[in-house]
Amino acid sequence: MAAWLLGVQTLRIQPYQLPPLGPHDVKVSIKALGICGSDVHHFKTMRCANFIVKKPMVIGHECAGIIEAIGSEVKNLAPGDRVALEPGISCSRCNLCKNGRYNLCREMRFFGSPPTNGSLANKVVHPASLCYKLPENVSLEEGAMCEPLSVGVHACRRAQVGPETTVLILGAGPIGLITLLAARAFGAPRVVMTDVDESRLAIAKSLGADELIQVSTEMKDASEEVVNVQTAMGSGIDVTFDCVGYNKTMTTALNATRSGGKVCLIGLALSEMTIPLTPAAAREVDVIGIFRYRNTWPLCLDFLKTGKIDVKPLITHRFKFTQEDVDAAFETSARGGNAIKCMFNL
Amino acid sequence: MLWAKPFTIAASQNWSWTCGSWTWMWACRGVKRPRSIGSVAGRGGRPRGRESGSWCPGLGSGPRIRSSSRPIRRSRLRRPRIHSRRRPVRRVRLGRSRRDFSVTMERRIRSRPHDVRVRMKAVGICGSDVHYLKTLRCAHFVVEEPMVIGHECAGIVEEIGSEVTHLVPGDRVALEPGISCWRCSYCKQGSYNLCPEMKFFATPPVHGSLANQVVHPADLCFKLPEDITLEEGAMCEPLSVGVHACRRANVGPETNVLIMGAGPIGLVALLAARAFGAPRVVIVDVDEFRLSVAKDLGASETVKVSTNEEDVAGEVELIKKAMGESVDITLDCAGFNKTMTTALNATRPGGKVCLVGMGHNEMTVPLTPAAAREVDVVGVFRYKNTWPLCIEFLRSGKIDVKPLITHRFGFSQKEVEDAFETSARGGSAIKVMFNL
Repeated sequence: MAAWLLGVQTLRIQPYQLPPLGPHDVKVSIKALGICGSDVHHFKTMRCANFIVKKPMVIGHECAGIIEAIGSEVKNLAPGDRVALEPGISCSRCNLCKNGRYNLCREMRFFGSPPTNGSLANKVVHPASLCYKLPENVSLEEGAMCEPLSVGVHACRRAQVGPETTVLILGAGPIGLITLLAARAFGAPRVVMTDVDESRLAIAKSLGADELIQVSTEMKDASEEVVNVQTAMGSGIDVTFDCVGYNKTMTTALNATRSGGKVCLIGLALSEMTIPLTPAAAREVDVIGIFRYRNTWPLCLDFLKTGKIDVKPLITHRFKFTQEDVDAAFETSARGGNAIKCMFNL
Repeated sequence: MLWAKPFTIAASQNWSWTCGSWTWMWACRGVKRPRSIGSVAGRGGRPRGRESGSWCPGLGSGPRIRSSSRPIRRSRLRRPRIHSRRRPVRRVRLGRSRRDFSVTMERRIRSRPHDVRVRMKAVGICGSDVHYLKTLRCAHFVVEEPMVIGHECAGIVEEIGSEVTHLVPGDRVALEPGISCWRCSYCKQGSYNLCPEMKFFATPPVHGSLANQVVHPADLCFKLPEDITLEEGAMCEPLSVGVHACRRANVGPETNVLIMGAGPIGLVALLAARAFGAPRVVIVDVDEFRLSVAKDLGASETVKVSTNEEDVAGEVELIKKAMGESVDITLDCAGFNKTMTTALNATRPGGKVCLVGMGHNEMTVPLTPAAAREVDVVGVFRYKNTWPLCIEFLRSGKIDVKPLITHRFGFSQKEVEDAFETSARGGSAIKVMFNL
């Protein structure tokens, strides 16, 4: 059985015919699955950016489970192993894949990105090379959290966050919060966060943000807020993560970051943006883009195992795998507010 | 037009300019005094902490101002200095009103121990110089006092400071315009082009170098090889912009490069990209003549584009076809919404767009779709550590800048005006060069 997206705001638990188990595949019994903003977007509008749902599709991609069966060539995993799943299967043949940037592969087949079925199901079949064994002390829910955490880890890598880089994070939603956790794990000495919502800022504080600034959605407040964040940081802002992706947040990011610094655009809100790009470029403030992640699971699991990152506070709501709970879960997740991560326990 | 001696000009301005010249000379004699932030003696840096309205070149907030009636004590002249016959120095300065500039006579500047005095021989006009002339400002730099213009220059060393060892009088040198502070973290980490205290020729309030002579730090004067002309030396400055952009964008033997705009900067970017080994360079422009110049300079393909935003999608297709393979790096040397949109859409996933041109302050661009393909936007500001490489490219013939020098002028009032008019006109005028 799986949760099928049949139409706008229409999810139904229906039978799911698994593909055959290939020699390099494993069959995984999914135990934990988180809801992502993109899942909500698919749910509400049957599309997300350029991905359009044209036929019924299983939803969900942030998952972990227990291996039930392994293909003939699989050597590093055995039935009973608890694993976290990296959702995307790339082609491994194109230049991008061969150069290590497989997240940009044009032939990528990604859980829950149409037309590829997702993993909010009792069982899935997946390449063994994309299943990572969980350490003893890491739960299946934490395993599922590796997926959103990977976005933060990949962003920190691309922006070269380290022990000398002060970090500003715009937006304290789920992505802003895991970016905070990742930035800390990468050694960022000081992290300032902004959001419009006080309760989310409070969560950010409890997760280790140094300073919090409540901001508005008014563009006219941008210049004052730039001064506020710079004052809160104390020294120059080396890296800014825009985890929202609006004109205002990007304007703030470009203006607040020090010369020679980096702005990493993670939030994918608007198609076209009106921003002061030239003055920023003339200060050599670079804009780095992010698309999903690559080669992040081992590092995420290491962070979780050693306790450098604790994702458990982010899991605020739990649901079972029933029709009623599926509907309620998506509703809760879409609501935002105090719902950070909604997790299914199957 | 004003033909006047400096003291006459000073009399009509404020008194501190008068004693400023004396103090400038005093400071230039290497007498130790507390340096204030932002002051560079002998370069006309605006003082900090002084009462507003008094602009004493070379004066910080430390030393007191000498009045013109007080003679300088002989004891202060003990520091090593260079004696030379005093001759008035001619410079081109922007006057108080727009489009009013004059060739005025000023006192010679004495060299400092680490400086050299250079007789200017070749000065090119940059788009920013034209902008200052037309509007008395460029971005957030505003001309508030008369300022000598020009920064793309080369000349012959006439005098050297006592601590200068790598240059001798008679050496032909190309000058890197900007003096950074060498104390801040930017300077210490090598990104001195971003120094907040940068003193740059012809960026107000710092005087430029369209003059018979300038005094400049010796470490910013680069000796030209025998077979490189002074004009080519002056071209090192715009060429440096292209070289720095290619470095920041990581142009190399595997990167196909798209260049938006075939103006002077687009053309130096083309030359630099080729020198860095880019296998294919496609260049676009609205002007056919400029595209033909680009073709002569080695562009693989040229594409004529419009200024119409609706044509973007079609032009992206044409560009991809012209490139044949994916566009790895795009250098936007125009800097408008349309060129940036084209750049972001045409560049392959994981590629880079380098914004060189400074067209608009605020831009409306499809940033998110590009970011979601990990197309990074890299900015450039001037250059750093580029002169040695530029000179090497010129010496080895990897780059030939001579075709870019399309118009030449002498150093007289009439010719100065004609030159700027020619440069501002654009079109067939690529680089306008003064020969002094």
